[in-house]
Amino acid sequence: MNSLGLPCGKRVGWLLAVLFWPNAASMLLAQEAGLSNANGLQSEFFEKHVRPLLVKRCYDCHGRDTAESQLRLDVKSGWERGGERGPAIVPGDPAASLLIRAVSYRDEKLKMPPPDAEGKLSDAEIETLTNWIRQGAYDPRGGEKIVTDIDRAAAEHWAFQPIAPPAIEPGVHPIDFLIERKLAEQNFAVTEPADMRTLVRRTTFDLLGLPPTKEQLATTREGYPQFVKELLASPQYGERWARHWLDVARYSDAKDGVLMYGDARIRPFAYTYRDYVIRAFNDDKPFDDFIREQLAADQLDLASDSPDLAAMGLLTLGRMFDSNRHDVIDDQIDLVGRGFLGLSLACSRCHNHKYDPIPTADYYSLYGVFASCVEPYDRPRIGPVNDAGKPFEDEFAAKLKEVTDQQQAHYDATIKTTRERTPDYLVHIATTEPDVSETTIFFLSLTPEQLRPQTTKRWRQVLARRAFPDDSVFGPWHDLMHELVLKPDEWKARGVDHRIVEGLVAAKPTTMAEVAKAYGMIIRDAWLAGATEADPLAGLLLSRDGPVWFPSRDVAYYLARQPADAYRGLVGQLDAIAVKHKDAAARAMVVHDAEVLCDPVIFQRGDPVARGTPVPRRFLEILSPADRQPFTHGAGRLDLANAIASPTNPLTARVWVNRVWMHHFGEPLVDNPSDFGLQAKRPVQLDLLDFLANYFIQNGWRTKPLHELILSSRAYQRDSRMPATAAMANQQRVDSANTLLWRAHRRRLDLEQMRDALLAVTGELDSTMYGRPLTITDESNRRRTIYAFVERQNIPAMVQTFDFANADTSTPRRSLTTVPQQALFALNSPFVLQRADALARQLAAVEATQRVPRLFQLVLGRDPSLAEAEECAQFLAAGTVEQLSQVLLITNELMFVD
Amino acid sequence: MNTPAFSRRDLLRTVGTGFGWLALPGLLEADSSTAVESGNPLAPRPPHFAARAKRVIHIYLNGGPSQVDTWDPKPELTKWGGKKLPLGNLTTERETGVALASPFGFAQYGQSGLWCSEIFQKTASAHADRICVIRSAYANTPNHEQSMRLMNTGDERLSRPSYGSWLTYGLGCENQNLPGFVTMCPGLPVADSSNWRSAFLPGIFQGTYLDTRKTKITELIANIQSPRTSHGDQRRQLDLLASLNRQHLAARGDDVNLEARIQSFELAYRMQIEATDALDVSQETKATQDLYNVNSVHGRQLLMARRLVERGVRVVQCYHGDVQPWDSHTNLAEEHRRLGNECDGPIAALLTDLAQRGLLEDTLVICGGEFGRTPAVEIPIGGGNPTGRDHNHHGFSVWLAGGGVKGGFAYGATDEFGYRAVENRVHVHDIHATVLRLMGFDHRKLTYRHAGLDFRLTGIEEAHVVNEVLA
Repeated sequence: MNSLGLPCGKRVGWLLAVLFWPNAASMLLAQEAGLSNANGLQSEFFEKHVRPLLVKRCYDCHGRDTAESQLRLDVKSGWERGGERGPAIVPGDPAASLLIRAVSYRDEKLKMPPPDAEGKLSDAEIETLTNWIRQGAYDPRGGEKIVTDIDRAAAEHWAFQPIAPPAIEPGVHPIDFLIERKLAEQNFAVTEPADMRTLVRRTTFDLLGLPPTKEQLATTREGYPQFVKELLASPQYGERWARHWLDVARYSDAKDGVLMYGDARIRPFAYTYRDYVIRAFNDDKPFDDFIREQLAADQLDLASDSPDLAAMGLLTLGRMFDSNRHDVIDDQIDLVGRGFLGLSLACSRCHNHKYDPIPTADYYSLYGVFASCVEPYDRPRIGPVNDAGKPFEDEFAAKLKEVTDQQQAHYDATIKTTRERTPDYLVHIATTEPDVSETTIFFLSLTPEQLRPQTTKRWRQVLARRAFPDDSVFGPWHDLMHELVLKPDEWKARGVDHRIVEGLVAAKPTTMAEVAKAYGMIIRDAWLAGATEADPLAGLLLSRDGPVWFPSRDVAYYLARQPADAYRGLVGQLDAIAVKHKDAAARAMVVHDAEVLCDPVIFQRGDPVARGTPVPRRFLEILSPADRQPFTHGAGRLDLANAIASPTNPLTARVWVNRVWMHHFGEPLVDNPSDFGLQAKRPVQLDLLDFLANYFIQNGWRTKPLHELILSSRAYQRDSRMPATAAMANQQRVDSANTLLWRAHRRRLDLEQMRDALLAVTGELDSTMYGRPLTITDESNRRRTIYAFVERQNIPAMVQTFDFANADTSTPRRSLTTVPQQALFALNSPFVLQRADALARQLAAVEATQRVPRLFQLVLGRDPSLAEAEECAQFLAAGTVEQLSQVLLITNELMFVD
Repeated sequence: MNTPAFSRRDLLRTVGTGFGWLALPGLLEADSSTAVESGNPLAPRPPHFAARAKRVIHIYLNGGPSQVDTWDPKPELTKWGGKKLPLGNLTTERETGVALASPFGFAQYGQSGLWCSEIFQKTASAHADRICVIRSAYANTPNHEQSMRLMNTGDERLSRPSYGSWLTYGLGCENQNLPGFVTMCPGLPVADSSNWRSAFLPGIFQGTYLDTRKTKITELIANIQSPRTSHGDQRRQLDLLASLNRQHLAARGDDVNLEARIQSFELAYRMQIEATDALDVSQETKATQDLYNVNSVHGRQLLMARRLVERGVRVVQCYHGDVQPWDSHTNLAEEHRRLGNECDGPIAALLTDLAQRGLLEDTLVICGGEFGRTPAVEIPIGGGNPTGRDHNHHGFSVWLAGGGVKGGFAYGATDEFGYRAVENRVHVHDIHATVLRLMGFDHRKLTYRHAGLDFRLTGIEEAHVVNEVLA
C-alpha cells in the first residue's frame, strides 16, 4: 500500500503515484477510476480537471477567435504548434513546457493568466496541469491543423512556388523576348545600343573589375561574344566575382573581441577560403557543388589535402561573439538562410517568424546541425610543405601536443573535482535561486573554489526533471521540499533506491540544506564505492547525460581565471605560430562533426536556459515535402547542403541568379537580394527570373553560361543615357526605377574597382594571385584589393569611407554614399598622390606637347577634346604634371561606368 | 514633392545613397524630403517632434566608476564596512567579500542639495543644480566588452549601430563640413570601434574616431591635409576637375550621382579648413584654455567637444582613456581619486562654458561608465590585499545635464548598500529611449530595415522613456 491507501501493483502504482499526488481532487478521481486502463484514467482526468481549467482560465484569450500571440489552447493542435514562442507543451516534461513556465510565474516576462486579469492559477490548478503534462498531455480534442495567415500567404507566395520558366519564342534572345514583351505592353521605347567603347568598358569593369586595355577598347560588335569569352577565361574574372560572394559570406581575415590586437587578431588561414572562392569562380564550379563544399566539404570524400576543404571557411570565419557559442551558431544560421535561400531564418531564434513561415522549431533544427560541429585545432594541411615551411610544422606539432595534453589534464582534474563536490552542488541549488551566470558563463572570472555555474545549471535541470514523487532517486527530495518529514516506509514501498532511504534516515536532516548535503554524499559515495555508469546513483556522475559530463573541448569555461587565461593563451599560440611563419603551408579552416551530436530543443524566447520542445535536425518545413524526415548523415550538414542545392528548391537558384543580375545591371530583379520571404513583393520580371534560374540549373548550375547569356542581350547593351525627348521623360516618370529595363544604369566604381583601376591605369597593378593578405595602407602593396587584409575592428578610413561591406554580417548589397571624406581621399591621400607620381614619371619621357593626349589615353582611354586639351595646357602653365595627373585620376569619367 | 522628371522613389534609389537609404522616409515619417532630396545623407533633418536637445556630449568614464564613491552616498555601507552584508553579495564577474565603506567624503551641493563625493567636488559645487543623477541604472552583464557595447549600441554582442550613428542617421549634421558623430579617446576603449560602429547603417554614420594622444591636428583626421599641395594649388586642381566633370556631365543629361560627386569636392575643400579649425584649441582665449586646462588630454578633449558641437556636430563622445581606466579592482581609494582629479575640473569647465555660451540649453551632456562597482570588496583571485571593487551591473549612476533635463535631481535608488537598483529601475535601453526622446525621437519609430526586420536602438523588449528626468 502506498501513502494514499491504494492498492499498488507495479505498473498501476507507478501511474497512480505520478497522477495523484498530493492533490485531494486527484485522489477522489483515482478512487472513482479504480483500476480502469491508463487511457481511460487519462481521459477522465483530462475531462474532469484539465478541460474545465483550460475552458475557465485560458480559452478567453487563446480560443479560436482570439488566439493571442497566435496561441490556441482550445485544440490539441493549438498547443502542439504553439504560438509565437513555439510549442506550448512538451508532453512528459513539465519543466520544459512553456505553459507551465507561464502559469507558474517563474518568468518575469511571461506570466499567464496575466496578473492584472483573474491572476495566477492556484497551486492546485498548476499541479493539475503539471501532472497532466508529465503524464504525456493526453488530449482527446485533436483539432484541425492550425493554419495561420502566414501559412495562407506562404501557400500563395511567388518565391515558394516551383520555378516556372516561361515559353520563349524561338530565334529571339530569351532575355530580350521577355523584357521587350513587357515594354511593348507599356508602349515603352528603349535607349540606343551603347557605343562599343562604352560597352567594352562596362563589360571589363563588370567581369574583371578593371578598366579596359587599349587593345580591348578596339573590340568590334562582331567580336564582342568572343571578347566576353576571353574575359570569362581570365583569372581576373574570379578576383572580381569572388568578392561579390565574400560580401555575402561576411569574409574577414580578422578575429574580433577581447584583446584581439596586433597579431592576435589575425586568422592566419582565412585567406584559404578567399582563394577557394576565387578558384571556384575561375573554374566555374557548379553552384550546387559550391554550396555542398562550403557546408560539408569534410563529408564529400575529398582527398585529405584537397584545397576544396578550405570551402568550409564559410562556417568558421564569422565573428566570435565573445565566445558565446549560441551567437556563433546564430550567425551561421543567418548566413545560410539569407546567403543561400534568401530567408531571414535568424528572426526565428526567439519566436516564430513575424512575417515568414519559419517556426522557431525550424531554427532549432538547424541550430542542432551547427551545434554538432567543432573546429579542430589541427586543421588539415592543403598545400605542400616547402623547406621554408618546415619550422612551422615542427613548432606547431609541439604546441599542439602541449595544448592537447593540457586540455586533457585540466579536463580530468575538473571532472574529478566536480564529482567530489556533489554535496556542495546540491546544497547550493537547494538553497539558492537560479542565477543569470549559470547561462552566460562566458564572462565570469572564477576563483578555484567557486562552483562551476554550468554544472550548477545542469544539476538544476536534473532536479527539475526528476524531483517528483515517483522518481526512484529524487522522489524523497520532492517530498522533503514540501514537508521535512522522513517517510522511509513509504519511500521503500514506492521503490526508492535503498541507499537514498538509508542515507536520509542516517543523516536526520532538519533543513533542506541538510537534505541536499545528505543526497550529495549518498550519490558521491556510490561513485567512490566503485559503482558503474549503470548504477542509478553513480550514473549521475558518470554518464554523458548526467550533470557532470561536458565535452573536453569546452574545458576553458570550467577553469578558474588564471589557469583559464593561461590555457586560452596557449591555444591562441597555435594561430600565433602560423601568423609568425609566413611560409607555413596552407591549412583549411574546416569543421567536423562533434564527438557527441547535439539533439536540439527549442530555447524559449531564445534563452538557452529555458529549454523547450525537442526537435529533430532536419530541413525547413516550408521547403520540405509533407513527410519531412530528420537528417541522416551525422550532424546533417551534407543533408542540409543537398536540400539547399536541390533543383526543386524554389529559392536557391533564384536567389543566386538575382545576385548575378544585380551585379551586371546595378539593380536586382528582386529588391532585397537576401530576402525572398513574404515581405518580398512579386517581382515585375518574375518570368525573367524564372527563366534565368531554370537556364542556370539546366546548364549544370554554372555561372559563366549565365554571364554569357546576360551579356549577349540587347538589354545589357543599352545606353545609360536617355535622349532628351518627351517620351523618355515620361517613361522616366512612370518607371523611374527602370524595372522594365529600357535603359542601362550608370554606376560608380566600388572600393575595389576604384583602387584596382587607379593601379591599372598607371601600369602599376601587380597581378600576383592568392596567398596571405596584405595591408591595404601599405604603400608597397600594388596587388588587387581583394588581397588586402579585411579588418573587423579599426577598419581603415579608406575602406570605411568607400562603403565596403560590413564584415560582421552577411551583406546582400553595399550601401552607396557620396561624402566629402571620399573627396578628401582623392585630394590628399598618399595612395592617390603616388599614382599621380607614377603617371608623371611615365610622361616625363614624352614630348611636352604630347603629354596631355598621352595622359588622357592612359587614364581615360581616349584623346582629349580640344577644349579639354586647352584647359589642361593652361593648367600646366602654372601647375605640375603630377597635379594634372591627379586631376585626371579623380574625374567622374574614370570613377563612373556608363 | 514636385520634381518633374524624378519621383521621390527614384531619387532615393539613385541619389548618392543607394540601397540602405531607402528606409529613411518611412522611419522619419515627418518631412524628411529636404534632406533626402539633397542627396546628402548628412543633411540636417527634423526629428519626430520638437527636440529638447540638438546635440550630445557624452563624457564616458570607461571602466566603471563606482556609484557608492561618487553620486550615490550610502551611510549604511559605511556602517557595515568590514562586515558581511546582511543581504548577501550579488553575482558579478569575480568573487567579492565584506562591505567596503567608501573612503570618500560626501556632501550636499547647490540649492537642490544634490549629494556628491569629493571625487567630483568641482563639478558638483559649480553645477549640482544643473545635474540629474540617475541612481538606478542597470545593465545585463558585469563585463566590460558587453556592457560597453550595450551602453553604446543597445546590444551586448551583436553588430548593431551605436546610438551616435542612430542619431546622425535620424538628424543628419548641422554642419556639412564636419562629420556628424565624433568620438575621442586617448587610445582605444575596450571593444574599440564596435562602440561607435554604424553596423548595418551606411558607413557614413559611423563615429569619426580621433586618437587624442596625438596633439597635431592634421594627424587627427585621415586625409584632412595634403602632405604637399598648397590650398592655392589645390584650388586650381579643383577648378580644372570641376570643368572636366561638367563637360562629362553635359554629355549625360542630369545625373544626381555625378552632380553629388562634383559637389563633394567643394565640401571636402571647405572641410579641410573647417575641421582643422574646429579642433584647434589654440584659437581659444587664455582664460578658456585655463578653465579647461588644455594641457591635460581631458581638458583638451572637452574643449574640442565644445568647439565641435558649437559648429553643429551632433554627437561627441569623450572617453576617459585607453582600455578601461576607471576599472579599480585594487587600490580604489587612490585610483578613483586620481581619475577624478584628471577629469573633474574639465567637466566643470565644460558645463560652465556651455552655460555661458547659451549652448547648454540644447546640448545634452551625459556622464557615466558602462556599469558601476560592487559595494563589497573584491577578493583578489591570485591572493593579496582586497582594496578594490568588482564590476557591478546591478545598479549604478549615470548623470545627465543640459537640454531638457531636470537639474538638481536624483532619480531612482539602489538598495541601502548601493548594490542593486531597486527603485525606479532604469535599464540602459531606458536611458537610450530617454536620450532619443530628448533629441526629438520616439525610440520605437526610429527604425531601419535590415535582414528582414525593422531594427531599433532599444531592441525588442519594451524600453521606457524616463519622463521624470525631463524638465
